[in-house]
Amino acid sequence: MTATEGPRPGALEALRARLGRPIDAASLAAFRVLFGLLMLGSTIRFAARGWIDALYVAPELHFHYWGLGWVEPLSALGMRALFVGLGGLSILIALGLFYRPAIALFFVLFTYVEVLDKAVYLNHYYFISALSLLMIALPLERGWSLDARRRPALRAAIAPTWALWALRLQVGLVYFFAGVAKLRVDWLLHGQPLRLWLAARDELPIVGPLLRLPETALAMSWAGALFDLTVPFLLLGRRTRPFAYAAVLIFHGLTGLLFPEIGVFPWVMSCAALVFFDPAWPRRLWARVAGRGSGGARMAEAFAAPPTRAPGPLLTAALALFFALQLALPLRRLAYPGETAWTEEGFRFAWQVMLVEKTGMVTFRVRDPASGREWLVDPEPRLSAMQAKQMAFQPDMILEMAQVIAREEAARGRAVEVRADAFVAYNGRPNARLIDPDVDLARERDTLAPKPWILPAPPRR
Amino acid sequence: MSRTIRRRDTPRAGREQSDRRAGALGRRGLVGGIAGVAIAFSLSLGTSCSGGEEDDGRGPVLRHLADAGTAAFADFAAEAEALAGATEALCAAPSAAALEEAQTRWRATRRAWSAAAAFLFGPAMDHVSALDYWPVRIDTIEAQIAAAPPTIDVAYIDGLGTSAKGMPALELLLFGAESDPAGALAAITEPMSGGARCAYAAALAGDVHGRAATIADAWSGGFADALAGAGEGSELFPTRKAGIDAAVNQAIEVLYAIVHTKLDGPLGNLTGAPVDPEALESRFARATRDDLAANLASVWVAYHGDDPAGPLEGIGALVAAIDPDLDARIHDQEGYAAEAIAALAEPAGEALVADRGPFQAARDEVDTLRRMLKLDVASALGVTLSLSDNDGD
Repeated sequence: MTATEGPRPGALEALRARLGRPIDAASLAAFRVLFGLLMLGSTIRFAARGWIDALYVAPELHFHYWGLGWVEPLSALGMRALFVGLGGLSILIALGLFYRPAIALFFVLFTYVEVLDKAVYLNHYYFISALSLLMIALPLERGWSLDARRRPALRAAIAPTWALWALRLQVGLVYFFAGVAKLRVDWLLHGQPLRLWLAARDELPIVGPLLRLPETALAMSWAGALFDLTVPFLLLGRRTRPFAYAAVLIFHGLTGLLFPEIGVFPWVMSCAALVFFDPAWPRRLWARVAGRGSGGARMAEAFAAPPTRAPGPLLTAALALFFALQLALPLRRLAYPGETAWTEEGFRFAWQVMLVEKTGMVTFRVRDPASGREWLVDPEPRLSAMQAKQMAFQPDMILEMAQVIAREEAARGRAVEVRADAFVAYNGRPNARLIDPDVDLARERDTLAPKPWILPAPPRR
Repeated sequence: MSRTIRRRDTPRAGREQSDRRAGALGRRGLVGGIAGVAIAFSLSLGTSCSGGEEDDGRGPVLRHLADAGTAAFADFAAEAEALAGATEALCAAPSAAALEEAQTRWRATRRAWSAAAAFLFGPAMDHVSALDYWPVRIDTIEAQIAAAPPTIDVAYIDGLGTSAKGMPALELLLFGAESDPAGALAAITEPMSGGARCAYAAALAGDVHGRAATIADAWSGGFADALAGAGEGSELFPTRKAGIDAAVNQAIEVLYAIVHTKLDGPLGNLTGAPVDPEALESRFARATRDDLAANLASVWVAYHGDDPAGPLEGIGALVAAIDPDLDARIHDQEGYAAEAIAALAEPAGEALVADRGPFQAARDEVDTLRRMLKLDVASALGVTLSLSDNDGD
């Protein structure tokens, strides 16, 4: 095709036809079951560790996302009940009982919890939110579900191709953008932050001394970048898929063991990557385990079922909008000046996974112009350990804290100026100022525009 | 459309053959993946049964920290014992000379305590409040003395709240609220209440000695070995990193206390109010500068070693191995901070009121050192910060 040629006539129809083609619904059903079980386990783990109270009940203030300043936690009882609800919905999703309302409500509740406090942001929480939103549109209840048992008209062993490819695209985007995010000097030339992290795990037997070596961090950095960039494509190829999935298990297994603080993320991604396998894999696995045939008769029955279709115009538009957002969010960092990992502008919701080791320290200088008095405010005693740690190196959270201080002083009748002495150590560089100490943060507004008061990242020595 | 039909019409046998091939590959992939995870898992399981034999430099550093902590608390206990004896002697035969001896012993005890600041983790944690409640509440102390039973002993003191005991309370009684030796002597020889006052002081000194001895015994009786043997079967410190983390975090805590509690408070930085000399540490004994210098010196013992001019024995040895430039900058900064503290005049209260500049300069230099430890050193060593920067009242 030359540059002057347009799309081949009928290409769109051909694509729609392909997307509407039937596939075995087994892998979609397995994905739903695994998702429900993982979310149930994750919810129980969250509650058992006391995080509901520690993260959402105990803190006297929360850091809000832009535009969501009105979102506040429920009471202690309400938050606990909400997590009980999330656990119950996870069970319903796994069972395929009232699947569509269950997944829709799960998305709403889970996302509500996620947006309560920026300090708690995790890439995999966002992944769960995005995935559950997408799952509302997918017919994942056709097989292995109580819905199908209770409503035989719903039952089908086939599903449309587009449903599986929507999941594959979502999972693939996570890996791909995580790989693109690693194409930076710190990661590729200095092996940072892996160099710092691996050195901290150097007491492992046998491999411990290796983890101290800069060369190990560099090799693992390159391997990690190559893995993220290529694995979605290798998972798509029938010949390369088994090796790629083995790499998935090894990669996530190792990261989970070396960095236990990443929690359930390795499990989530290891399960999610199964969507790249042949859609009949669960049926074959079951047949092998149960010692029966490969399920060919079931497939024959399935093909006699009503044909599957490409998504309708409304659903197509919704999916297009969803994936456009999935592309735009990671790419928005290109619209901001400076290093994203330092400024944090465009950092969240962009699969900037495991890219930075930052530690910060911030003190606020408050000045009352009327009296000329100036004093220091150390915010840490008012914050949870996680909030204090996260706020210390995230400019928008520092801004919000400054404005909380200003509001509180205003309530006492003082229109104060608030400035921040914020210092951050970033990926092994000497600590440096993050924020212009002369800027009155009480007068600044939190917008999506670049923040000129964020100082440039320090150079590496 | 035709392509769709062709795909659908793929002979089942061929498709199943293809599926079987993919299934075989899939099984190999799964087996390979499971094997990889199993290898990694076995590595992680091994963590608990081996600290690794390779000498990474942390062993000698942990030994140094253990020895330095043991020595610091042994010194503190010895000084506290001498203080208790001197206070008993003062009460038995009050005189200006006996009071001066007790004051000298108090200063030495206080200096030893301040010099142990970098090792106030582990067994010392249970006693910090009882030993060092500060700023002292004069009214509380006077009320306790007035309400004390006929027999005032260590057991009685042990039952009191922390605001009524400790070294700062004893300082008040030995030096007087006006730092006036004659006044302090007059108070403990005053016919009506002097006896109770001195007995209270002696019991306070006994309580301090008892606690100091307990801490020293705990260090020499096992805690030091647990620290030195971190990562080698120690339950308290399952890894060498855990031992190093404890020391780094405590060094940061000490510097935070200097900045926030001991200098920001008196400077009025926390309220915007004028300077507050009554918030100075050890102001009755006029030992503010000595305390600050001893605190900084204790951090330096943990970081550098016992001999400031000698080779690196402490945490700095690990930092220098990773980032010699950072270690050099920390050495420079410690020098600036020590100079700034040394430049403070005594009596500190009068000096602060006359010119807050030197105090602010000392505060800023120590804060810069704190920042380097909290951000750069913690990052370089992979220290998990304990985020307990709410030291103070």
